[in-house]
Amino acid sequence: MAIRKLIFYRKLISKQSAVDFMHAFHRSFDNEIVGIFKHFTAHWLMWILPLVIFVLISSIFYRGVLFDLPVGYIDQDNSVLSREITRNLNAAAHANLINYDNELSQAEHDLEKSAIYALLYIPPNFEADVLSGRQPTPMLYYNALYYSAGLYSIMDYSGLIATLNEQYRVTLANKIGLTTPPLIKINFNYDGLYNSSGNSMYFQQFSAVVHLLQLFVVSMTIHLLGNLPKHTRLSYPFVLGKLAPYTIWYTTLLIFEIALLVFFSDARVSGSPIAMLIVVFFYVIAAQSLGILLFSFTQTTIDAYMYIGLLVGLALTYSGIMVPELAMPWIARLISSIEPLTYALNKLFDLFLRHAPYLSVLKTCAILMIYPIIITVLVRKRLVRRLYRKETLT
Amino acid sequence: MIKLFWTAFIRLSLRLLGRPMWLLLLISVSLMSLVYSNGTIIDLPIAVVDMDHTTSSRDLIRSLDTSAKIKVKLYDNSWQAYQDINERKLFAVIMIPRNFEKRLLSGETITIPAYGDASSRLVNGLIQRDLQTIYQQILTNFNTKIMLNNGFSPQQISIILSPIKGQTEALYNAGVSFAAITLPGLLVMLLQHSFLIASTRTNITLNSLPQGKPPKIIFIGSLCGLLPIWLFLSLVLFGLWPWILGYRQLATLPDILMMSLPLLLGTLGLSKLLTECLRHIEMIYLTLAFLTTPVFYLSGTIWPLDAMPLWVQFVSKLLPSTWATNMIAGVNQMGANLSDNWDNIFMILLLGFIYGSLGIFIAALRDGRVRRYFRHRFKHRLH
Repeated sequence: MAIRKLIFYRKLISKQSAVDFMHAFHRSFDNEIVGIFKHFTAHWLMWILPLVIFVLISSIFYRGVLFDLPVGYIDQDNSVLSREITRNLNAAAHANLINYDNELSQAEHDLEKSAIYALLYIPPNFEADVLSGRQPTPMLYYNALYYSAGLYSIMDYSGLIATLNEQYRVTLANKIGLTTPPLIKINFNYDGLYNSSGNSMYFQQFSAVVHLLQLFVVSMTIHLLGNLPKHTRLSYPFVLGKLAPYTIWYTTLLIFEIALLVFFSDARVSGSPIAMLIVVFFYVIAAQSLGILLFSFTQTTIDAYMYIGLLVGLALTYSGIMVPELAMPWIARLISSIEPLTYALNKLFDLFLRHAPYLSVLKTCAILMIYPIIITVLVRKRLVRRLYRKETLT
Repeated sequence: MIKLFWTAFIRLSLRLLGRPMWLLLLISVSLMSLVYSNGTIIDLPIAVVDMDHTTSSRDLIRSLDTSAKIKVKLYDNSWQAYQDINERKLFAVIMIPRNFEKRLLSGETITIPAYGDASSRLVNGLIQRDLQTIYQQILTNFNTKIMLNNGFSPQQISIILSPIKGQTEALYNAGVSFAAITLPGLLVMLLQHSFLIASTRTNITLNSLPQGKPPKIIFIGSLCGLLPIWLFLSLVLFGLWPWILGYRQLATLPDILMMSLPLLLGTLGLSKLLTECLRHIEMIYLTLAFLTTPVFYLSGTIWPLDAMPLWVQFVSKLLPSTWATNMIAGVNQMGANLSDNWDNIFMILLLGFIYGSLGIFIAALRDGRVRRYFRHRFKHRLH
């Protein structure tokens, strides 16, 4: 009987504390909703800056594919064949040829100043050498430091040379006096998988948008915690209630930005938008917990902001967009696996372009939930103490 | 006057040495560089689904395996290979079709399909080029055998197969190192960004001292006190870092200083403008932290400026880092002369001057000095 009573009272107490928790959470949530846009900083961090940056990044990469890149040429032969090469290369999509006559030093100078991204050099007696079987080499030098521009500017060159070689093959065989046997024809078709829009920069924009949202969430969390009134009775439901409106806001904002990106890039979406929403929601929660961690383990809010700088570079580098995880050294893979951005980005890409089952979505959400759990354990004693610490912001 | 300048200069320099928060920049760069420690991509797993199992298909696989960039994994069926590429265990899948050898010998046209993961643009581009080169080599080998059997000499075969030996040559970045592609622009941006934060913070702190604004010479002395640390950082980032990561570094240390100093001076002008616009230390962090990624993209290193809309090109040209990246990458990695970059130096200093002047004007407007000046002029005219 006594045990039954004990269990009953325990249940009652736990029910009561859950009710208290929810009550405090609700009150804090409602308070925050009412005053969410009271200060300019909130407007700045919640929509002005995110949208300005979104427009800027989308505009930077709006072309997606590079066409008509400036390519210099020096034609020391000036024959029918050499003119055919320059004319056809210019007519192709990626290069816009600029004649340097014979001013090699000027062309070199422009290449070094990135005014042109490649330089085609056709040697003297080029056509005569081709016809007499001396196999001359027209060289196409390209800037491999400015890699995108350099790579695109030479894209049409190998196809053009292959076509010309086929044309001259019969002439040369006839000159030798032998008939060319039927040669093997193997077509090597290289296609890019998971390129939803045919736009090669789509991923860069996508990852930048998802990555920057994490920073906005972390900064907003630190700003919010740093500005909580010190005289109020601070408790966990109170803090969670304060944070919850921002979880909803940033989840909506990211989904909105992704939708805009998909719309303007005309990208194909193969996954479920609901699953996407769930992943983004957990991603925002993980980012908020990172904000709490930074806030709790720093002396001042400004110090916490300083560490965001570290986070910016790391998240961007290790998200797998600059260098894919498969090509990273093991230590980099380890760091990459600590970053919530890696999981969120991979799963969002999967939901867009690959075949991601719901179980894998749940797995990602579970991984993203590890962050708040671990961080709650880490900051359980520090957070309230830190929230009461007075500091001045100049 | 000189004494005040010197005192402020020394005080700030010593403070920075005593509390070296600027080392965060080096920690950040070190961590970011770990990802590039392999230089370029090596041993990227690629599936080959051999549906032919003949000598010719095995020759093809052997040739593919000679590339250092890829590591061939053999698969019996395409379903498993696609499953693995979907789960990010593979980077590409190459299919060798059934009857490959038979159709090869009978002179039929054969198509070898390959699919790469296009979600990584850089790597996909590299792998595509590498595979195409290997494929060309394989094709030449097969055709050489056929022509040898038809009585052609090796020299004749070479002439007939390639009457023109078209070649492409990668400049300024041997082996196409990822660090060399990313870091020159990124490091300039980080240097500018960290200096901008430090100088704006110094400006705001001096503006809001409890005892009131100090004389201008103290401002100048304190801001100049930041320069030695950031010049040292520029030596580390542009001189030492390429050496550590194994990419091209050509500029001498005095040249690096000559290029970094205008960048820092231009940034000082920008920081004056930001100080007057932002006015709170918190706002510096809540604004500048987010601009790092767009500023990096705007530098023109990973995506050319010509491909951006005109208004974005204009914004890009308003940033000292865009001109500095063009100059530092040009001199330090591409071997351009510093003397060819006076236009870049001039533009950085001009931008710094314009921003600084705008900042001073806004400050004067806020203090009411502009109003007083015009009122005084107006009164003077009336008299």
